[in-house]
Amino acid sequence: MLDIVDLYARVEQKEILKGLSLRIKEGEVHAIMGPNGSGKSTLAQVLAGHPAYQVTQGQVQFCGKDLLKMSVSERACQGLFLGFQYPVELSGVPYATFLKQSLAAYRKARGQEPLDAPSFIRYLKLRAQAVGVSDEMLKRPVNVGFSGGEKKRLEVLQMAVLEPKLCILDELDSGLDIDALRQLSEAVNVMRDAHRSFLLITHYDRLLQYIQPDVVHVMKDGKIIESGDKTLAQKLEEKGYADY
Amino acid sequence: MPIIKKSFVNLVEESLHVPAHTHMQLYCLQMGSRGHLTVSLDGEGARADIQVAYLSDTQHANDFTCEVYHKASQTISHQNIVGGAAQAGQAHINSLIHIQEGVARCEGYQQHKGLLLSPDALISCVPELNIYAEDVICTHGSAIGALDKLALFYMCSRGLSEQEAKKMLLLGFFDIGFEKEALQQIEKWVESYV
Ligand SMILES: Nc1ncnc2c1ncn2[C@@H]1O[C@H](COP(=O)(O)OP(=O)(O)OP(=O)(O)O)[C@@H](O)[C@H]1O
Ligand SMILES: [Mg+2]
Repeated sequence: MLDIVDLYARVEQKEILKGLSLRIKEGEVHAIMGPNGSGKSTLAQVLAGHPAYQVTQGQVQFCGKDLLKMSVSERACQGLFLGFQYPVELSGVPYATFLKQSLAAYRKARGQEPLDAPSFIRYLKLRAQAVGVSDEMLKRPVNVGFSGGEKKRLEVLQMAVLEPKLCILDELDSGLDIDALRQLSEAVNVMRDAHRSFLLITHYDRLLQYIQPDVVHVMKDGKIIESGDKTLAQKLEEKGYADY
Repeated sequence: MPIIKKSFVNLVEESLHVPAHTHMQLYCLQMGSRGHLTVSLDGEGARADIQVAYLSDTQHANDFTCEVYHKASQTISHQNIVGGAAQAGQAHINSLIHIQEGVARCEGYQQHKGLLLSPDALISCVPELNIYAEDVICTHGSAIGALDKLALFYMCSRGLSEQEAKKMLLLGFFDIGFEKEALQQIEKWVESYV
């Protein structure tokens, strides 16, 4: 599904990714852990196509296509989704209106007609319930004035509605209370299937107890320096990054 | 409290008086004109909410002055001015809050947000507070800038084209309570510049 080979990227003349390689197969769940500032969010932003990050070397194939040649919205419409570590506020843009248009774009890319308004609302509310998002929240502008945890719920709701092929979740667990963590993890687990892959960026093994990954990677200084199974996360939790 | 609602398109010169315990709601859409609005809060407890949007492009410059006079105690005014300048469009905004001597417990707020949609566009704003009384609350603020790049990236990362994202962001920006007809004009303008 995703094949990253020797990726270098920089922002404002500063090299952040320094030869990163990573391969995620269909249906797999991968987790990336690593110290603050090691470049985890940068990787996520580069994959989504953030214009401030410049790829200077390397290749990324997504579902057999050259990801780096695609525009931001093409990447999304091809099925790449990024749940932001810090979701962005869109003042004046109501959540439901925004998501309706996103879904229309996704469906168009798959050759489907947009849902009519009543069907969309029914579909949205069904999924909103599962992630603890109230009707009132759906009417408010995207991410404006929401708490950290609420923003994460709203990100997961977008993912659940859009049903992407590859879901990159940057610190899904930060800012979540215990019940929210369980609820959102459940929402992720429900979406796991043989054709959908996940890349979870996290600092804590706790999230990975709920969403059990197939592979855990350690990232440091812009590279993956070790990969293993889920027991690697437990080891890190105990020992930290001192050994690296 | 009785509410008086008034809407203007390309207002030129208006002087309005708000009597005691009356709430006036004003909507002005300026699409290339020189406008001068004066609102006078004449009686105790009078209130004015003034919503202004301006749209400038090469053919349509805007020069807008909004003055609010607090002439009685416990009067409240809000000026909310938003606008965009595309192409080589220009806009100049003056806004004044004047609180007369001898009145008490007045509140005056003014806020301006200008969006530059091209490198050749120009927006300037001069906010002015003339306060001759004690015991008042006044704030003013003006922000002029380009469309939020991070917001556009976020929207595109959800599948919207850049054009769709810009349009949605702009319509949200101008959504300050206009009626349908004015909204349609705003939408038309937005569509021609995204
Ligand atoms: N826009 C930017 N401008 C300048 N420096 C940046 C920018 N974005 C990221 N960096 C720098 O790149 C490095 C990696 O940042 P990144 O956000 O990818 O780390 P991270 O691994 O996600 O950290 P955390 O665990 O704290 O979220 C940091 O040193 C950061 O300061
Ligand atoms: Mg990060």
